[in-house]
Amino acid sequence: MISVATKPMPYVGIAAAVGVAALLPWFAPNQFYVHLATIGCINLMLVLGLAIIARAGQLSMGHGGFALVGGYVSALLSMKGWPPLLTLFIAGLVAAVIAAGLGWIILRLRGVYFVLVAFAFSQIAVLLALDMSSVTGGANGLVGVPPISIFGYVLRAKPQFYPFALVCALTTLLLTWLLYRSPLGTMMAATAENQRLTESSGIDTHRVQVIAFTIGSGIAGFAGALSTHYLRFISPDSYTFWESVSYLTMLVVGGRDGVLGPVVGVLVLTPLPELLRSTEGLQHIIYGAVLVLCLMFVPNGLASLVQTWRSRQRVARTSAALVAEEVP
Amino acid sequence: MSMLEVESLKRSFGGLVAVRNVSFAVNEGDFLGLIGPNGAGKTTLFNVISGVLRPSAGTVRFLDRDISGQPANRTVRQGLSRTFQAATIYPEATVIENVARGTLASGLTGLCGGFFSNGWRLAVEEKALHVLDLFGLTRRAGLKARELSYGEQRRLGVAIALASEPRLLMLDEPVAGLNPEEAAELASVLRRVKAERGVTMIMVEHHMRTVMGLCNRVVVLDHGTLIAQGTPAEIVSNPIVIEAYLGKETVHA
Repeated sequence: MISVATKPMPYVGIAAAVGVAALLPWFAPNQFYVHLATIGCINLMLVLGLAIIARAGQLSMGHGGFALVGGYVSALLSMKGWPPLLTLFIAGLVAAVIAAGLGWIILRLRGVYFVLVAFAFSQIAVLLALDMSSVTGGANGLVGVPPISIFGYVLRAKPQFYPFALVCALTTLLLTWLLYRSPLGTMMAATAENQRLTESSGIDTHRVQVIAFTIGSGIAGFAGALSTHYLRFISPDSYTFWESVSYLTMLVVGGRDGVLGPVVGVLVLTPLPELLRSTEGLQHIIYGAVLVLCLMFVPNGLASLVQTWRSRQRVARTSAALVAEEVP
Repeated sequence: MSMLEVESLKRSFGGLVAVRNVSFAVNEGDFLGLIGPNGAGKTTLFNVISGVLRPSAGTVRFLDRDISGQPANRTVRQGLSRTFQAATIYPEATVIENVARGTLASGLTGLCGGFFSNGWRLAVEEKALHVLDLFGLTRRAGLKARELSYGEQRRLGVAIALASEPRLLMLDEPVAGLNPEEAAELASVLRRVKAERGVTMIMVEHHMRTVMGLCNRVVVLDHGTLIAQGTPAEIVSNPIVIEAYLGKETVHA
C-alpha cells in the first residue's frame, strides 16, 4: 500500500552486492583487500549499533567503550579455555547488560548530558583496562587471544576469517532492517522525531530508548569481541574515544535513516585513509575536507541522495494519481 | 459515576500558583469546554490531568483509578488522550504513518511482536485509514505531514490523538490560528467524531463560537481558580465570568 513498493529492482541490487562481497577473496589482488573488507564488516556492525541508538533519538559517544568491554570479556574468557564462538555472544550480552543498567539511569538525561555520560563511560572503560593490569595486562594489552574455531575449523588466516565476519555483518544488517520495520522500530523512529507526541500516544519513550541503547551497545560488544579474535590482540588503545568518533563520522557521512546509510558510510570511510596513504602528509587534510564537504552538501548523508530520488518519484506518482482522479 | 474527577487540584511553579484548588467532574458523553482569560491556568490544568506535569496537591481520578502524577504514556493506554496547542505531528513521516504511530500503543503486538511479519502494519494502516477518513485527510495519506496546510496539520494532530482510541479526548485550543472556514470544518469533524465514536471530550478554547457550538458544559478558570461552571447559556450571562473577561463595570452609561 503506502509502504515501500515491492519491486524486484532492490532485491537484484542487494543480491549482486552480497555476491560481490562474498566473492571478494577470489578476485582481490592481495590479502590486504581482504583485511580491509574484514575491518569493513566489523565497522559495519559497530555503525549499525550506533544507528539503532540514533534511530531512537540518542547519540552515543561511548560506543567504543562497549566494544572495548566486549573485546576484553571475550579475550579473557577464551584465554581461560572457553570456546570463542560462545564468548563472542557472552561479550555482546555483557555489553548489553551494562548498557541496560547505564541507560536506565542516564537516558533520563537529555541531549548533551547523555552524550557526556556516555563519553565518560568509554573513558572509564579505557582507564579500567589500563589500571587493572593483573587482569587486563595494562597498557600492553592481551596478546595471543585464541582464534575463533567453528566445529574444529580454525579461522586463523584472513581468507578464512573474512567469510565469518561477512556473515556476522550481514546478519546484523538483516536484523537491523527487520527491527526498523517492526512496531518497536516504528516507536523508535517516532520517539526520535517527536518524543512528546510519542509519549502522549501511549508509548513509554524512555523504555524504547533504553531498549535501543541496549541493542546497539550489545552489537558493539559483539563486534569488539569479533575484532579481538581477528587481530588476536586487544589493548586499551583498541577502542578509544577516537574510534567512537569515527563510527559517528561513518554514520553521519553515510546517513542516519535506514540501513543503507551505515553501509555507504562504512564503504566510503573504511578504505579512504588507505587510498589517501600515498598522499603522504596530506591524508588527514583530505579526509577532513571530504567530511566537511559531505556535511555541507549532503547533510543527511550520502544515502539520502537515494531517498531524495525516491521521494521525487513518490511525489510524481502522487500528483499523477491526483491528476488522474480529477481529470476523468 | 463520573468519568473524570478532579479534586482540589493544585499546581505551583516556585511561588506562582498556576492552578489553585480546582475541582470538577466530567461525565461520560460530555463535551466540556474549559475557558478563561490568558494565563488563567487552563493549559497547566491540562498538563496535570494528562500526566505531563505532576500535581502539587489534589487528585485526578479517571475511570475510578487514581492517575495523579502517573506518567503520560500510561494514562493514554488507560484511555485518556490529548492534543497540544501547536501543531504536534511527525513532520517527516507520511500522513498515514503519523496516524499509524498513534495506534501503536493500543495494538496487541507489543514491543517484541511483528518482527518477521508485515501483518501488523497492514492492520495498523487500516485502522489509520479509518481515522483519516473521519478527518477528511484520506487523499493526503501519502504526503509528508509537513507538506500539509496548517489547518490540515492541526486536524492531523487531533487524528493522531484519536488513533490511540481514547475514551476521553482532551483538546488544547484545537482551532487556534485557523481561519473561520477551517475552524468550522474542524468543529464539524469533532462533532462527527463524538457522534460516531462516542468519545467524551474536554476542550480548552478561546474561540467562543466554537465552544458555544460544541460544548454542553463549560468550566471557567481565572487566576488558577474555578470561578463558574454550567451550560454555555448560563456561562455567557454569568456576571462573574463577564467580569473576569472584561473587568468590573465601573462606568454606567
